[in-house]
Amino acid sequence: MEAIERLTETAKTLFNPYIEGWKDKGGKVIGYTGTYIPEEIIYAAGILPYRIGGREATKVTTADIYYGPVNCSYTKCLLENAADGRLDFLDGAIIANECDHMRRLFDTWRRAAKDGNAYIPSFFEYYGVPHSRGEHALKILMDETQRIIKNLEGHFGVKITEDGLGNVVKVYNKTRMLLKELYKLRTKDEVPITGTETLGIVVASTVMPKNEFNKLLKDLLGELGKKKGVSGRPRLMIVGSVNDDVELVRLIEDLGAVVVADSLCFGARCFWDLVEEDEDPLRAIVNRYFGHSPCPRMYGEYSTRYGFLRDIAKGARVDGVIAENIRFCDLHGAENTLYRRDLEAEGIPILGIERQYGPLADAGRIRTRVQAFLERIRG
Amino acid sequence: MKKKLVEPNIDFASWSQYDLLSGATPTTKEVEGTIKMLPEFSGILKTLYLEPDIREISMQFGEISKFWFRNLINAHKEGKKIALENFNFPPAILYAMDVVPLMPEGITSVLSIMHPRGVYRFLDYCVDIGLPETMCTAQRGGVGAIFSGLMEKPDMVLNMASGSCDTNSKIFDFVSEYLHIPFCNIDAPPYYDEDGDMARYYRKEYRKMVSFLEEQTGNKLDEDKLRKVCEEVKKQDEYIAEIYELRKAVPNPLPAVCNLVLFGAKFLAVGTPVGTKTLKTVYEVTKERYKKGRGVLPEERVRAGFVYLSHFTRGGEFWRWMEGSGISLLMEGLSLFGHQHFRMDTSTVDTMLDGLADQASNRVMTKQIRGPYDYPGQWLEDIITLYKDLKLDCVIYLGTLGCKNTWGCIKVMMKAIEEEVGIPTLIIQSDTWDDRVTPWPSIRDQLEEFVGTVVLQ
Repeated sequence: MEAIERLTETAKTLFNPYIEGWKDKGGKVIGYTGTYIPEEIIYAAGILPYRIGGREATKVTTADIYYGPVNCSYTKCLLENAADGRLDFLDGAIIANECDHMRRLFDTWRRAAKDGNAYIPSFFEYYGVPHSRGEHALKILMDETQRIIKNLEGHFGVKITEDGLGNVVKVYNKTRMLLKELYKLRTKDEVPITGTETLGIVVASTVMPKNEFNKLLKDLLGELGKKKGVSGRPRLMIVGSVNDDVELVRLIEDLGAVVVADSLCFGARCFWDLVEEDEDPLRAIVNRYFGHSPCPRMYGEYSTRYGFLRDIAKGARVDGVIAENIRFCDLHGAENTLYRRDLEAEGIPILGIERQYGPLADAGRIRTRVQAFLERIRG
Repeated sequence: MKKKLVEPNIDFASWSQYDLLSGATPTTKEVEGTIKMLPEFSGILKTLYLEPDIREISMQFGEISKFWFRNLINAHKEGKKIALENFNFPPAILYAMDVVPLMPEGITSVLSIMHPRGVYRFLDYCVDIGLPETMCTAQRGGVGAIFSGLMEKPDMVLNMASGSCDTNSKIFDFVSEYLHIPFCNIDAPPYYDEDGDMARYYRKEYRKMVSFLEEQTGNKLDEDKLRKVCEEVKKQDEYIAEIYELRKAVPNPLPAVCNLVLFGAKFLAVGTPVGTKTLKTVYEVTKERYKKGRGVLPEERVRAGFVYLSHFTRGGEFWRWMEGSGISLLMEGLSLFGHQHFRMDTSTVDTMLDGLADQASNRVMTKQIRGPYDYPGQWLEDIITLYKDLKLDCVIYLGTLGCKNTWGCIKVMMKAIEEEVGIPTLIIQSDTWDDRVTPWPSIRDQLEEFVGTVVLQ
């Protein structure tokens, strides 16, 4: 099987062959929810960090018992996956307050498990991340990270060392640099890889051992360098709410576009920034996660986010931007309105779409709107 | 950009209304006459002015409102800066620094409860410019009034919902970007403690805000002014604690609509003499009623508590209906938590700022919903304390559409309450400020059915 197939296949199911192999060797797996949780500390403990996703959930009936009617469908799908036994392989989970919906996963999941309606791993932690920056914020985040490290060590009988962290940082930075290389290839006139495939690869990077991922991606980059790519299609960028569902991107590309860039948390925002390698590794890791290209949960930082998005959009010479937000995701919903104002002022057309998360949810409506947007772009 | 709306300015019109209402307390006959003359205002007049004890308290509420709107409409003429601030932001520090507070939730509530046209056009204005309709109506009303050109424009944004509410924080963030005005984030840390790392973090955030205010106004914080304000804060907290004690009585002597007055004092007038006078009036009236054994209801069918928001439309019909139905309303999210007592040491600037920061950190929402619902000092713990203190028979959640954070754990928390203390709970989908989500008669029917078929069984 070619590298691209192995990577994109890995992203399709929650329990993938790499997890199976890892578990067969007696390895432990810890799930985490988003881009503010420092994976490196888990990997340095010899445990596989695994970003929990919503794919494969086809209903939210159990999640609806515990969540309210105005909560995000992506978060509900995470809980539903725990309820339906698709996360039974987890030995631990860390939930962060990335947004109000996600922070409540810590409450709903515990209750669903207490009621016998969901599997919950024995190591189950909340990771509180501040919303302001500054030394005092960094200090409480350091304390919080050290608390998690202590609990990890106690629960799993492992030791997380400075050297171990330093080595893991190198592996993770390698992943980030390779992914950046992949994203650079997408800026070419002839795009050698689709947005659908790229999302699959990014998702794979979060659910398999990094050194194996790095090897596969390196092979793939070699192959893509020789490949003749697609040209002449409208070049699009996707920004907005979390998305690990490749079908959404496929739907857009099937209409004749090619997605060449993104500013998403299963996308550029999760790997763009590196960890400083010549600092104290723990501090450098915490600094990187806290200071990485910010999610709209960090208030007062719109200009940084917009700058990041605009630079990527311009670098990839996009013809248009699709700003999507999952219904009830006010963080992205409000921000997309500002993107519309600012991108249009710079001559970049933008389409705002509010959607439900899930396999081809809202597909017909989204298809019609993207078609109209592509007509606008094509003139 | 969307066109501005053309009608009298909301802040000026509101100030005029309260100015007209201030002065000598009207007699019952005068109120009845006014109700006939102004049928479109009959609901709010009945709620606030018909019953003599409530009337006395409501006159003070009018004074607070007049003071607040007067400050707002005159701010720029007097060379003062206006700061947009959230409802969970105690504005004492702003009064100490001559900055005028503009709380959008206050505007939304005033329009929604008291104005015949309600607040819908402003809620919709925000949606028209692109904000999601799922964002909280509490802010959308006031912010819509600002965006539509019918309010004084703020000069800066102070966000104190950080850490406890994304939708509230994001709309404040949005206002700053949309109007191109400076922004300061005051973040509640992810957990709660009274005097540990979390409290220290918050005190640093609070001082960061003070520096921001100094920078924006060009004025240094004046110790004497701060002390004057803090002395008022101290007195106010003592009254709030006393009022809370009186609420424990059976029957409860404090009329439900006085919660609205408490909101006014706590949200608009912290640290001001008019706020203190209002709380003093509420305390004295309630104490007198208590001494005479005069409960709001001669016999309380049910003692109910609302774990978060209640209902702010149609002239305050919610409060009248509750008591008219024999339900004594003991706890209402925004005015509850009188069980918390604050330290206010006025000896130095540092002790005063710590006191104010601690008060802000303990404000409703900031405190209860920043971390997991069952962690120390969080929502469940506070509700259980209130249940015990106030002898509640049931607790109810009126879930506003925008409140993703509370909706995210309310079902779990209500189950925990039922298990831990064995009282019935009710969750209703509604919107505190927008009757189009669930019309008031439908909410009323659900409340009635719950009380009749569950609580009283």
